[in-house]
Amino acid sequence: MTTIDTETLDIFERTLRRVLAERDRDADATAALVEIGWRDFLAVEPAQVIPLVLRHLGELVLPSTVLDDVAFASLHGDGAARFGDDVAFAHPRRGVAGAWFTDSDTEVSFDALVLGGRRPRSLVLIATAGDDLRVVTLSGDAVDPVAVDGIDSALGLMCVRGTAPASDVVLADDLDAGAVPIACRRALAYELVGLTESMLAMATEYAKVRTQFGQPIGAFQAVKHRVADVFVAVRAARVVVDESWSSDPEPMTVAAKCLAAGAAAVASQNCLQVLGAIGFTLEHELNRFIRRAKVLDRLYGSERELRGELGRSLRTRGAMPRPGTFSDR
Amino acid sequence: MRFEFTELNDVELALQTDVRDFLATTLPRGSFEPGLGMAGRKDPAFSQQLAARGWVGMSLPREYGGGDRAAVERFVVAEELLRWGAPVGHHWVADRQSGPLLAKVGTPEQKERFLPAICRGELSFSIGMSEPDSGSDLASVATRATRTDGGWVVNGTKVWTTGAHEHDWIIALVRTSDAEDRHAGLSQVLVDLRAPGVEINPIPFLDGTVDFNEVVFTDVFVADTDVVGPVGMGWAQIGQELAFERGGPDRWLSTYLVLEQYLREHGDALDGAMVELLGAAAARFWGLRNLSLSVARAIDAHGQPSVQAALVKEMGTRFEQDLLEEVRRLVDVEPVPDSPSLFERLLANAILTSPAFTIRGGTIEILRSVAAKGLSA
Repeated sequence: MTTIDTETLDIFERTLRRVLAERDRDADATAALVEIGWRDFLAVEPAQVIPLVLRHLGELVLPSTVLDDVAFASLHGDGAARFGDDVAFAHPRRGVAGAWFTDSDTEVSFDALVLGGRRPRSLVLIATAGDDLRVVTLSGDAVDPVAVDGIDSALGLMCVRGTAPASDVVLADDLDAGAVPIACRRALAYELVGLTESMLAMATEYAKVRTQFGQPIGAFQAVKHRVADVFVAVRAARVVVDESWSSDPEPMTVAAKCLAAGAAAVASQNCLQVLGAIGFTLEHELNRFIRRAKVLDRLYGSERELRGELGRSLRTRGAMPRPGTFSDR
Repeated sequence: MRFEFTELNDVELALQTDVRDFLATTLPRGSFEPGLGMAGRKDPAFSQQLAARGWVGMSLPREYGGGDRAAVERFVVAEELLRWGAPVGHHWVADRQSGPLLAKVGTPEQKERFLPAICRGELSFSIGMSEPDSGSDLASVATRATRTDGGWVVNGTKVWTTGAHEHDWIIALVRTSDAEDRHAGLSQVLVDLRAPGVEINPIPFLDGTVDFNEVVFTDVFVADTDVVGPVGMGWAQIGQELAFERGGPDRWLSTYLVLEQYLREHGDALDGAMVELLGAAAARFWGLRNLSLSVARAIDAHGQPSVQAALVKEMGTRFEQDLLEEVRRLVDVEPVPDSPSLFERLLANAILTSPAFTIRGGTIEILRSVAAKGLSA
């Protein structure tokens, strides 16, 4: 695998900032990212570019379909190129998107979300039979995406739900389906961290400039503490998602997304309180962050579902994880 | 303010394995009553065994018997000892902050006198900061040192002094002048806890055990040679000391044992809420662990991560109290201090001592303000 030198990465980051800063917050940012080479970088250096790109998308609350790229790349380094642009990934609300039944000749039932308002020619998803995970490709004829009128219309969420007959199903047994939830939870954790960092910045700034009782509201302990709580939560999430690249990625990415969603929830609540009534308005952009965070929390398992998942693996082990590691005792 | 993500390198991981092997051999599980965090039992013989391995005074200079090891290496050892519930009470404070303070600002004579004995696991220290009228507002301390021939005469009262009834020395923050800048009037002095004029009154915890004390100084003579650092520099010195005190694993590993033992004894019968609690706890442990490790790494890089350390302490102690509260709510057992079940004993111990978690080392209200100050800077 080739690596990217620091200088190239710096240029990429600067370009990324410039390009994304100009984007309309309701317009999908994927094409702009592809143009500056996101998919090429993703293929060679995912650990460098995923944190960068996903955090920025979160900070600027930009909609995109890069989660598809992340999922495809986790299956194949050159994922997007291999699968093609008219193929979408069906992202699960929980860990997996579908179930297949071998006894009925690989019929697959599915219930998942497609990003970006697309009606793809075909759809890739992860399906399970018991503990066995498989990558499944469905023909577009087998699915009928329905637009979700959810709380965050900019994401263009489409719900796909149904059962595909064997004639429309291809099982890709050579691909490691387990890589997808790991990669996507990690990416979502970075995006949630980005959203939270922005909410924190808004509240911190507001606490400095908003004056009441003759002083900036940030001088009051009750306000300071709300802001400090968000800071602590987001930093803890950040160090765990960073760690998930190197050790025990499975439980670490579960923990990372769990912490990131928790931090975003604390931020949604506390920053709203600090901003006061203006935070409730459509006029202020805080609402975009709060809504985006709530939707991202649901993908690949909510904070609560992920807690349960981690807890169940601890129950199986019969021991708490040692500091810094999960797999040994 | 940043927390840089960091990981243990191979040398540090090898040290971790050494400590795990040592504990499994010397102090096998079931052969001793584990303690919760830094409130672990005091056992000078065990402290000296650790010292013989080079695991006490690790961060102190080699010429005084220390290890010249990095803060991260000390972190690794501390984490393993706490996770095991080892009896570390005797040397903990000396190793964590009194020794490093003396190494940094002490005179060559003080270093010679104290550091080798600290590194052998012999000497134990208490921290003399809080007073009856100076808690969160530490700069208001009123214990007074008055100039006399060859030294100072100290009068006043320190309170919430952990372990003073058993320890050898205390490093007390005292007022040495009435300078207009109240910070400039503060200095730190070494006092022998058995010196004439020192009275120690234990303050029992709500479980009846004694860890906190009131320490009263009445005309206690402190020689010039026992002043720590330059006169008037006490405030700056304790800022640094609190970074050692606050950022370490002591602050988030006290309840780890309670959960671990719960899993051992009741792992088969866990229901949904308890499973979620365990998952949430594991995730937060990882977060705290990594933040805490990054504080140790920052100390090695000659940073002064005092705001970060305050944050780790704040998050850690709050986490531990929340966790215990949740466990208590979900687990249907009587926490009994003399129960045959180790889990029930640990839970009882933790419930009764946990109110202190959010007080020692700075109350969480103060720490959040320190953290918020760092945010706006």
